[in-house]
Amino acid sequence: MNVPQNVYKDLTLCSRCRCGFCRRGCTTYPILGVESLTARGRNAIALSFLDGLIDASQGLADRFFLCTTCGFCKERCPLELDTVKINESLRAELVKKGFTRPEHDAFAKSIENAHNPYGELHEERMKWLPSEAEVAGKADTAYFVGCTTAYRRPEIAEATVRTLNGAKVDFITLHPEEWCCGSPALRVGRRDLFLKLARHNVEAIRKTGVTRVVTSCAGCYRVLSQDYPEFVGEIPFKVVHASELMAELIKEGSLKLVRKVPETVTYHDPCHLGRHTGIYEQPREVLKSIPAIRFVEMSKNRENARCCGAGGGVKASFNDFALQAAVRRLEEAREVGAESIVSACPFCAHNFREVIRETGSSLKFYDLMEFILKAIEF
Amino acid sequence: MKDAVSRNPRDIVRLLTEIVGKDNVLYEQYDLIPYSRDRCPFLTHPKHGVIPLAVVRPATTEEVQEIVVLANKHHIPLTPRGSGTNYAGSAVPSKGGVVVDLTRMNRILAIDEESMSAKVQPGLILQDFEEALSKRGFTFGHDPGSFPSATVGGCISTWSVGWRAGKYGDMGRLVLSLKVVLPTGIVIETRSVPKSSTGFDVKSLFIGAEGAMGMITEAVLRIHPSPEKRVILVYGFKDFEQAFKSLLKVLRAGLCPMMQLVTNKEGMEGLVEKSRANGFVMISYEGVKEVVDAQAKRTASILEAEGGMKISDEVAEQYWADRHDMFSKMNLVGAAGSIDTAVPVSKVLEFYKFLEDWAKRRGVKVFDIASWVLPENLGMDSAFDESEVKAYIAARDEALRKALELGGTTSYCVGVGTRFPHLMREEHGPALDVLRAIKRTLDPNNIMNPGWLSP
Repeated sequence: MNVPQNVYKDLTLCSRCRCGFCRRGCTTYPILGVESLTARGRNAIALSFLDGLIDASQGLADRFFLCTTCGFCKERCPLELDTVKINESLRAELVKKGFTRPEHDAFAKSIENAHNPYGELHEERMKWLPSEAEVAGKADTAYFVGCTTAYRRPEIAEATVRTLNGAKVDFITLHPEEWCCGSPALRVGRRDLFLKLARHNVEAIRKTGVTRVVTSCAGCYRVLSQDYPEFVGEIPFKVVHASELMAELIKEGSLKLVRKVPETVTYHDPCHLGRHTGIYEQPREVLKSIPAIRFVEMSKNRENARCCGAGGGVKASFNDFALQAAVRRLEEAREVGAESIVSACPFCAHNFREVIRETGSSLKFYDLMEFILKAIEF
Repeated sequence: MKDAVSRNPRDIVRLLTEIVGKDNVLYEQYDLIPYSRDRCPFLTHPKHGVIPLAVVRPATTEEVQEIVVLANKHHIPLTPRGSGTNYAGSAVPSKGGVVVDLTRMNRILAIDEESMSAKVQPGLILQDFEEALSKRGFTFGHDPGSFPSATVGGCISTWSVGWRAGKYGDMGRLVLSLKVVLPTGIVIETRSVPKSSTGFDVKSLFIGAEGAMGMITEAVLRIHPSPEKRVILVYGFKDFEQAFKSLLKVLRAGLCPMMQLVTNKEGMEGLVEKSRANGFVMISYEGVKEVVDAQAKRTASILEAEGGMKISDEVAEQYWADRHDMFSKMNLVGAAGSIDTAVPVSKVLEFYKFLEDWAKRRGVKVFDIASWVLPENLGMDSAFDESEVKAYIAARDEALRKALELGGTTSYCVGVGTRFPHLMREEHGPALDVLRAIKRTLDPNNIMNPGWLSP
């Protein structure tokens, strides 16, 4: 048995209890309906596997990979078991035994070779940077862009930089030393690769002497703020998500949202920003401070928010399922009369934009950083 | 008798796939393991479960019917299952065969506001039902500990009781009619009126039958107006006896609480730390505001006259908020088992004293001894040593037999399943043969959740 002792203990506790409160609200179970895709079911499989009742197989491994690790089950567990950690530990164990997803193999290889999971050139990581953007040579703050933002959702990076410039926040970027934060690797059980990336990035940031790292990516934020300290020890800088910084800048008056945006808008809590790191209010504060906005909440919000369906390596391996989950979430936005759905995660953006395009939905999606541009007078 | 098909899992899977499609038949070991147990306390590890041959997931009454016809033809045991939260092992496929997972049938088919009823499928989760009703100004009123995961079909099949049963009744009372696929494949539907005088109440054959008489595929249920107000009162007393007698005073005054609970000190552990009280009464009312206020006022004056010490509203609200999670949390301390017995009210205090002595004598770790929802219900939550299950069962049976000796029952809400079949002759006497005769008549090939009704 190679999972941490506390993970094994949690599995035995779940095996005693079996309440199944994790089933309702799970991202996967209500769509696919199979008990082995719930936390309770997976935990029973995990215990059977670790105690030698059942052999590992690709099918078994896929029960662990077909989970967005959204953490709803953790939120709802009466025993407060860390179901996300359990799943990720089992994934790591299964990867060691050679049970992986080919899509994860591909992005892991790309990360090894090009420092991003998308097979893009590392030299083009900052291709999105507008020529007029002001990036300092030396500052207290570094903007950690993240791979998905840099290569797939450059509009978020551009909006972040423009807003930081507008609010007169001096910042540097880490390029060419910014590598993938390691989130995709860690989430799908590639711990060795994650450690390599984490050590590199921490050292690269340390060398710049910045005291604060800001990121507009929820996944990067979760990894930098929580997983780096856990896996590589204390980090010599503070990590803030762009939504936290924006809320702070608005409060102190450095960022003024003055233009009216008379739209009905709802906010989707990204799992990595909400349930995983507890940032619920700042993005809402930012949105509510926009003049003339009509802010509405979906019925499932904050710790009860549904996952968009993309996380935990699911979009790479099971895209049809990821899109089905996003359709359900967009339906909730429509139910409360939203015209636009705003979130604060490039991965949620990627999934929602794809499903809006595929279904021809009239809903518009914006990242928080994009949306606030509408209200800033430059 | 088993035939060639029933002995060959591949044939069974093929035939089931023809009915529901390949996505709705599970046969890999890793997919079957989660269906091998329910919440029966002693099945603390997957190795204690019984792996079925396959799991089938029908979506309609017609698919259920085809599955039952197939199983009846080839003598394949069928175990219907909702969320698998039953405490008695009723959803464990103890004879192997096929588990029929009914959770795809989870829709609300109709809400009739005028009749105050709703037609639903058996796989509907109680909390989903309650949330849907709440949006329309209604409540179902069934609130067992497993409310966040239990299904309507599971609750009917175990004749469950919930926290709000004082006002709304147990699950059986909430059922107006049922559609059932009988073990021979015949589909019956009873009439959606509260009562008829046209023979036996056929639907009652399926309430509490743990799926042994047929497969419920639809239910028409009573619904109620959402309460305007809820009040929860908690009072501390010198001991359990005084607390229980005070509750009886409230009931004798003609008051009818939505919820009532009398518990010993352990039952309030962590909530009331520094009280001198060793027994507690919790009473709740809900409904029309003026009525609730009047009931609460009268109750408070009775409990205070009996020497009760008011416990803060915060404690009451905290207890209420934790009511679904509390049994799960007991598993953090030790494997949690329960005794869910009921005895005549006049015997409750005698049985309480027996349970206290019994726990001390047997060295059982007690989480609480409590009278819950009805004054007759007196049960106990306790922890057992996972390596000494046989010894715990022997000890538990001593307590259950005492309840029988006092004129009570071994199980007021969780069913019989695989936990109590050996006590059913003592429970029912010759009436057990009546139950078994009915089972034989409806299920001549003994395919539907074969167990204690068909030894």
